[in-house]
Amino acid sequence: MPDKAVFVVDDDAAVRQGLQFMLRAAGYGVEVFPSARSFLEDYDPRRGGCLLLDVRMPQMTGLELQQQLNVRSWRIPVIFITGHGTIPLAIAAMKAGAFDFIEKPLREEALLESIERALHWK
Amino acid sequence: VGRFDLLGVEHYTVVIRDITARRNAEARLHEHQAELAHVSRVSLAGEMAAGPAHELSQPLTAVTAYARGCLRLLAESVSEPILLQEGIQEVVQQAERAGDLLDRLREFVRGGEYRRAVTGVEVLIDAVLGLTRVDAMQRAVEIEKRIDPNLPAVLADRVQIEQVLVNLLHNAMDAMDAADSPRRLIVIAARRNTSYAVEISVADSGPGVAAEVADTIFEPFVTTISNGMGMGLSISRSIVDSHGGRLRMAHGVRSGARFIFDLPTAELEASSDAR
Repeated sequence: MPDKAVFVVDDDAAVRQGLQFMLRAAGYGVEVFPSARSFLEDYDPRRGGCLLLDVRMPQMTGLELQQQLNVRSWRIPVIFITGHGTIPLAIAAMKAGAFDFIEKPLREEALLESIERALHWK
Repeated sequence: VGRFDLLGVEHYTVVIRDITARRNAEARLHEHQAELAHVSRVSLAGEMAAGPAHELSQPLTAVTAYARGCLRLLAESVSEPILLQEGIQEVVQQAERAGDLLDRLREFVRGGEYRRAVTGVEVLIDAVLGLTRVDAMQRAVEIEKRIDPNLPAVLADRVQIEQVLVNLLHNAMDAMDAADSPRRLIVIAARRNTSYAVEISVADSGPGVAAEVADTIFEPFVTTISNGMGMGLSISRSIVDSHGGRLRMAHGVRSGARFIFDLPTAELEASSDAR
């Protein structure tokens, strides 16, 4: 049974925990991961949900994680968050099937609206 | 003034040279140098702004998220003061983190006079590593610190020397990025060079500097990086010069580049003052 969980992958502890705090207050189940690799290891694709993913991270970047998801055919909608909202990066992410692209510092309404749409995405 | 006797009569020769023009020229030159130093510091800060802008967006994102969470908890009258307290504590902490970052940036850009003080080398290097940590992580660059124990303190303008080191680290990272180096290692080292100088070096595992540009890289507006202004090394060299040292290049890790400069130890200054 898929749940309505939001998974957050960000290497910055404060950002990751801040998002968790905000999204929990908004009523979502939230799980956070400090790296792309830890998400790949722990996530069960049968759970559904949506993924908030930082683009720039050491070792495996957000875009690389997205490629891994595609390779494994894990159909979890990905919302990219980034401080470097460069157009080429956004295009690359959208081409690879990203659900949405949101810039830091995040606007709550935009983020919640995007999460809602992602969770209802088929 | 010269004096001589000629046929029993005293003669004097007096040479008067008007040096006003030279004095003025020197003053203008100094003024110009000071301006140039400031302008280049600002442009260097501009080049570097991308890094701090990203660093700032992290705590700001966290502040927004925690504050929004708190507002929502309040709006829904969730009676968990502990949760609210936790949220607000984080807001404060992350706002302070942002403030610290701004302070460091401001100190970096600030013009102001040349201020030398007795400084520990490791403190200086740690401050610089703090400034470049996020950038290094994002570019998957490993930075290794090799500092000799028992190094004497140096006499340096901390802000300026930090500027030199940040510049050298960014150059190294840019070079490894541009060459897409598989192994990205920077070694920042400090050791006692002579009895009166500490040698600091930044070595990278990048492609090194091509022989044909090696002679010109310290000149202004010479750059091998596509988005650079080419001011970094030229400013860095003049800063090191003003400390009585010399910024120079050698071979780094394997094929990479290594930049080296010396700083006077504080002991040297103390002993020359006593003389």
